[in-house]
Amino acid sequence: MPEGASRRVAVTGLGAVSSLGTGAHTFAQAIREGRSGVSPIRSFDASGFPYTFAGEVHDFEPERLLRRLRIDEWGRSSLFAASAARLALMDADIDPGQVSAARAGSAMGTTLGESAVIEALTSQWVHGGLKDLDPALVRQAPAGRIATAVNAELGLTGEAHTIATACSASNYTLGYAYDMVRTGEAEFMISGGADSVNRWEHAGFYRLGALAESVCRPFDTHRSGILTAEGGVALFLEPFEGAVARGARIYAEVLGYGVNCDARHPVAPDPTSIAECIRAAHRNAGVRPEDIDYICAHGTGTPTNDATEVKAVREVFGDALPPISSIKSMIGHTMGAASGFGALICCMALHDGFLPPTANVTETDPALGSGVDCVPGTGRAASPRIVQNHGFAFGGNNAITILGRAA
Amino acid sequence: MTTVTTVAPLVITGCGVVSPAGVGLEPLAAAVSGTGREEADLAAIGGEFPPMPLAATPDLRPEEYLGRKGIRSLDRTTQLALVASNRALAGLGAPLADRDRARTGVVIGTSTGSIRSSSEFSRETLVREKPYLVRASFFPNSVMNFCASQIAIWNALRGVNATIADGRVSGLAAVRYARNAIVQGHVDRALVGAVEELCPQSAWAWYLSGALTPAAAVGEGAAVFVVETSEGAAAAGRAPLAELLACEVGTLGMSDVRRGLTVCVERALRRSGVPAEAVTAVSLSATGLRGLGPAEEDGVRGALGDLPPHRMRTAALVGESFSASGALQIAGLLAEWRAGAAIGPVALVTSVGDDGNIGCLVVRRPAL
Amino acid sequence: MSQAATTRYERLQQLRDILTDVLDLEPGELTETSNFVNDHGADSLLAIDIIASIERDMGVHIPSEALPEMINLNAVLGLVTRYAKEADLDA
Repeated sequence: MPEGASRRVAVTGLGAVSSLGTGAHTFAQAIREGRSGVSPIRSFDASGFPYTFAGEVHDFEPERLLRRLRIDEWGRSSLFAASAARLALMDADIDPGQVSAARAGSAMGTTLGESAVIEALTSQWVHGGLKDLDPALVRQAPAGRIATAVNAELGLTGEAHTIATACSASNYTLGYAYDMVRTGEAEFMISGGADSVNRWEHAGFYRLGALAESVCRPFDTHRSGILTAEGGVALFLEPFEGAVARGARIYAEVLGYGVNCDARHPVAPDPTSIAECIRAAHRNAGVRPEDIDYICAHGTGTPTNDATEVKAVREVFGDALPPISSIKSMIGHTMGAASGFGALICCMALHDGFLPPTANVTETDPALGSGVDCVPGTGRAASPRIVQNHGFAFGGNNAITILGRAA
Repeated sequence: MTTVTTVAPLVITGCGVVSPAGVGLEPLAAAVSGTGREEADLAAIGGEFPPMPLAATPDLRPEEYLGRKGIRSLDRTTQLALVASNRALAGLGAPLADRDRARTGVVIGTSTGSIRSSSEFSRETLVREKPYLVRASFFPNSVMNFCASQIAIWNALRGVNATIADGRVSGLAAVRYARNAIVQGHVDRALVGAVEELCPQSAWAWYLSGALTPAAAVGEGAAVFVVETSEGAAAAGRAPLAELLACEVGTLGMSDVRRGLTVCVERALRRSGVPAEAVTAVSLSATGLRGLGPAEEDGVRGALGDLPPHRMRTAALVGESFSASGALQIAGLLAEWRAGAAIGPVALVTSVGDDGNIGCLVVRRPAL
Repeated sequence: MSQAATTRYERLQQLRDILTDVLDLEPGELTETSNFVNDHGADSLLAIDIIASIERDMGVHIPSEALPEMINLNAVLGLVTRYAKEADLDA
């Protein structure tokens, strides 16, 4: 048996800064309606690219959200993270002084860290040489600034981990934050993630042939790839008992998680290893496949990912597949924040009673086999009790979290 | 109330280190005893460096440890960490069985992955005729988890694979993260460490920041440890090189580094079940950093009354290695114990960053 | 020497240079029939880079559908010849 106390863990606050708006409830409403946050790229000059669409956050106004951070001292990803964390804390409706006085920290996921800052520095390098780098910008470059920004904004003195396991990173942070609260290492934890749209990632995915032109359609016969995207997301975790005692709104209970690594290829996913990760998550959460009412898919919309993911799910669930959908069809691939947005929508689905849709599906790919219900179009009223949230990444870094309705 | 319980010790059973002193603990121990560091071979690294002291790993030949196949496309960050991982596993004596590799994780501290890889990849989008004429095979290197995932791939390690980017405290943060993963049963053991490569991008960043004292060199290195439970080590017949007791990290230093570190050290000692007077050595991190160095010493004094008799400053030997510093400090401590230095059995490894992040790890020499 | 023969020889040399660079090989290691995957450890990413380098250095666009055919130097030469011809016919 694992050491330490074992407490139940509740999610009581949600924060989102997304291409579908600011705030978890605005975001969730847009997802239920199957709306798209995709638009022509503005954050860099995309004119040399054949494909020019992304899921950017155009109306991000950190100065309206943040109370402590000086905006000009932080990079875009850090500002996304801190803003989402501030929103989550407000949503939790708890005394901020109580939180900062307690043992409280953050774990935030990212794929490319302060990529917009690094690109600005690269531009200075190209135009004037490394001697022309702006020291103020250099200070903003380390990825660790992302979680540090959360602690600085909320006045937290506990640990501040930026976990950079690429596109499964937010699930890594949720698992770690869950363990910290569960074992009593921390009283409160913020988990989540942040990433910024940038040229190099757009170029890389285009070069891999993994980029869609303007529409992301996971599970569809004619799916052609991902859309790069950005945003920040945060979940506020506290002991379940304490949440009940203070009369908090409990979105969901964190039941457990599994993490593993394919250890095979830098970019190609491995269905057997993903299936093993699902089983590990089930074991950790004490649930069986038949308990799972919904899967929030990694669902990037590349031909390979979706086929691999469904194959892995079949290995565990047989032919009794739960509904499986991808919100990346609406917001694109927010990279290190992606599984955090997945966790957030899972919490909303459990609390409000719905299944998030996969937008842009005209025909579910028959090659995926029978029984794939990807909730096409718009959200569906339902009352899921236990759900499973997927995050996979380059390097074969898989992470899966299990969330349950508060009861 | 948050519980304050005493943690069960984990043990280090394998250690691999690559630093400007060379490959392994022996060159590091020799550096401690005053053998001078070689002039950095910058030609092997490539690029234009600023006019300041630099410390590079001499004659890094990854092919000697990894074979020639497939290493050129690896960036220096990954090469350093792969060699350190290779040495750490080699130190176990018998190789891990396949079923053990499935239960072995990787937890690596880094600042921003290979900043050289990401900025060079980004540069291609600006200087090529078309922005998308980048090399696909170099794209994974630009992602921060590349190094940790390569360690997994090269060694078939299928457990948790975490990349921890906590700035200067990354090395200690990796130890803390790994402790949870092992103690909570997600893996049986993990390769735990941190890495930083010397490259023109980061050297210029240090130069322009003005954060280093004039004599301080920008360095590099990687240290990777096999960490497991003492029961696991005993069952496998692996002798512990050191015991890892409590590891506390946090942003306690945001308002006051001194006071924050004092609180952090006190907490780490309490959770280790070790009284302050038992501490005989400290490995300090902020050597060569203006302002932070004295603050770190004051913070330790605050918790212990005074600095312990033996003070180690690994950065003075291998240069300022940012995210790798904590892991290299642990290696420096192991090197002294191995060399038989009379520094006593209980040491603190402290770490402070200019962003308010601080950490303290308590390390104990196993009873003979 | 005929025009066509010169072109074939030049193409072969150019391809050797590209493949030696992308696949990280020693001079002489690459033969006309050595297998990219089994003998030279290539993967899908390197195959993409081979196509990209051919397009950049030789001005010949090989579609990604042809990736599975690119198993060795001879096969790539065949593809380059085929798609260069198609481009000429298109023009």
